[in-house]
Amino acid sequence: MLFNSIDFAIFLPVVFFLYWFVVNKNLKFQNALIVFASYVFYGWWDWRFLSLIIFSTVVDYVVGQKLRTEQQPIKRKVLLWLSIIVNLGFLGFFKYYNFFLDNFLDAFTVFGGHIKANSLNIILPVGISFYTFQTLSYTIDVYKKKLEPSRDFMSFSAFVCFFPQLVAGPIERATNLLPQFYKRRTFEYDKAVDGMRQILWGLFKKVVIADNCAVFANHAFNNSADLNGSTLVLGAIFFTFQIYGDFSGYSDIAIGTSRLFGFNLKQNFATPYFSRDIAEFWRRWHISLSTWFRDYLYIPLGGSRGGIWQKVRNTFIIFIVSGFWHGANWTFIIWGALNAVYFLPLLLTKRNRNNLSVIAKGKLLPSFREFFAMLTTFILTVFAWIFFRAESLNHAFIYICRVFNKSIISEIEIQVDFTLIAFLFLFLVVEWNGRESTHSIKDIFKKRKVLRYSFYGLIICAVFWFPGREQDFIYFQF
Amino acid sequence: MKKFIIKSIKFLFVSVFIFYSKPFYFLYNDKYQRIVKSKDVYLAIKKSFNQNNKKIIILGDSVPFNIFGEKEFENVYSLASNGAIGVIGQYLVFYNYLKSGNLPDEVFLIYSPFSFVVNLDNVFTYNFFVKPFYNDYFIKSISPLAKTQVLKLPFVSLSREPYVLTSDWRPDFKSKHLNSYNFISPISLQYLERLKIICQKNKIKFNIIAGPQRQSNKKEIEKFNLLEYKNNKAEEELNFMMSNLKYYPDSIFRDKVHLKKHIAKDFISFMLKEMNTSRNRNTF
Repeated sequence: MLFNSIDFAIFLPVVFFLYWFVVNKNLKFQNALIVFASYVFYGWWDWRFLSLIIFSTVVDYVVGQKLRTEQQPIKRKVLLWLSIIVNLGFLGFFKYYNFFLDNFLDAFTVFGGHIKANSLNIILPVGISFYTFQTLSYTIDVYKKKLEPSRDFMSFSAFVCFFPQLVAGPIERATNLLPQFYKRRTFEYDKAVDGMRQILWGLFKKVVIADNCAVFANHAFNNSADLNGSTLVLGAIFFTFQIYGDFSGYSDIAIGTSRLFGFNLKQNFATPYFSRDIAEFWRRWHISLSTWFRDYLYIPLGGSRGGIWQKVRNTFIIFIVSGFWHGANWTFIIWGALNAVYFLPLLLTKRNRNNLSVIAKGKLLPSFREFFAMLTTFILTVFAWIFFRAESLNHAFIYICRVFNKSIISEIEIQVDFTLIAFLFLFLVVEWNGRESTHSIKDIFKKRKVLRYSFYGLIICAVFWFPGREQDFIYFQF
Repeated sequence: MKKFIIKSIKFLFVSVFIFYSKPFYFLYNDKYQRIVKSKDVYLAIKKSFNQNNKKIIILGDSVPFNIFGEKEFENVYSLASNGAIGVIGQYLVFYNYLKSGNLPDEVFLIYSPFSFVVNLDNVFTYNFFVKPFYNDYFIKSISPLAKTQVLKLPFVSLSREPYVLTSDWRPDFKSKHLNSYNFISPISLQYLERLKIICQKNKIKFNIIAGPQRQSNKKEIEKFNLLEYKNNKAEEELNFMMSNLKYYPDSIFRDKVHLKKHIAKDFISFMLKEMNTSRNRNTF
């Protein structure tokens, strides 16, 4: 079920009503309703893959229970690995089987060998990368004794399949989300209103910004062999806004929806395109995934401690794995590696933690230096997105080669709608204005009711009157 | 909670008002007919209301639409649109053209051999046939067979609802295609006869020809069961079409049936030549 669909527009009020008016007096019923609603939400896409979620839930619950009583380190490790193998096994099979097989066969052919093996026609279950990482965080935290294993199966199931963030995140940590299922939720007006506000802004980002930019980005990437350099640059910039609007829009709707049900999810995006360097960009982009890799991969590998070689190794590992998490294609791996290349100079010169606070804090505009740093980071990011969006490495290189020639200063070959430019401008202004908040319109016109409601009206008009052609959420495929 | 519900309902009303202002605006000025995916169909219908007394009329699917486009010819008038409307849609457009006071000498149905199978039962039917044709104006010319088929689609009654009508929304459903035919559907057969009859009544020469065919489709086309149209009033025209197919290299096609856009325009002379060959066949 898509957030921007009529199905969801009916589903959400029904679940909301049942949650607050029918089962509100009983925590167990509330959690059971969440599990049921989440299975309906997921099954709407393909009910057969519900079995994967249920199986994963049962395995991790049982492993958690065993870890509670098991004290022997070796047996504890076996239990941990059982959970890791089951979860990553599913992910590996559904997402990476064909990739590894094809590359293995290609490599074998290079050395003169010949093996006959057929790729499988595998459907990638929506959201598998997200809920797999979420359940893994639970098992690892229980193993490390950072978290008490859940005794309540219903709460645990609700944690695994919580519908707002089931298919595209944010990837919640068990330490943050699971305890919220143990406590009785009471309706908080301010929280719910803020949730609605965030949903509205998320819809704007998805339907108006991402879906409209997608038209031009798709045109540029699908016809890259025929378009000139300036048009391809514009296409890459449109994709940059598309992917941000799409994914952060989804996160906003997910977080806002959770707030309607009394839950607090962690912020997933913090205006990443206003970053002054790549290190800051990665602290602000897909925060739930970046911190997951930081805590469960980078730090166990030694993090930024040790010699130069170890730092370089760890940086490349984390960025390449992060790229590979996005999809079974060399384009994602190169995208990850490219970001590692961007990041390394900052790490090695110990400037990776220079920009921890938000840009131009308390000021209306950034300084010239900040603006220049922001622009440079944005350009580097746009360049990296070309690999992310391209169908293959060959496609990416052709795209880049066509950008860097004389035609980069020629006239743009596509006609961009003025309305889209106006909305992109509005989007940037609002994002800039709200960069210090947890979401961009949290405090907008806080003390000016008329302006605030006019703004909401404008956003609703934009969503209904200027939607782009409906596109699937990009991150569903991951 | 009460305050939240009241506020949400207020927002809902405002949203519904805003939401519906666009469909009503589009309905008021018919703008939707120029922006929806089935705009080619609406264009053909609109053109069928014109009175211009052209001598040669072209009906057909997206292949002739791409070739002829909206180009104006001295004696040729194209009402071609899209294969998804089926032969029934071609008939309705042509019938309306005649009703508008025109009387051409000849009509050419330029059709892909793959388009005859349309029986108003696929996912495109809702947007391409139901919305433009299943209305008070055309309903009298729709046969009980076609009506029965249309009513099997989900949410047909919603098709006149302003938002649905002015957008590309359609219900998702899986086509329950009867595999009793592989070339021509029962509704296509029925409306080919009607086309032939209406032409005979008005002394208009009726022709069926095909556009350029992709070489790699040859085997599939040769497997078509041509007995399916035996004894149909348009049997002779269909036989002529099937025995005069011209195959071209796959490289000039962008998909199974459509020519690449920049190549399509170069095929006007090809089509005119094909029309001439059909015209010169012996029978009327």
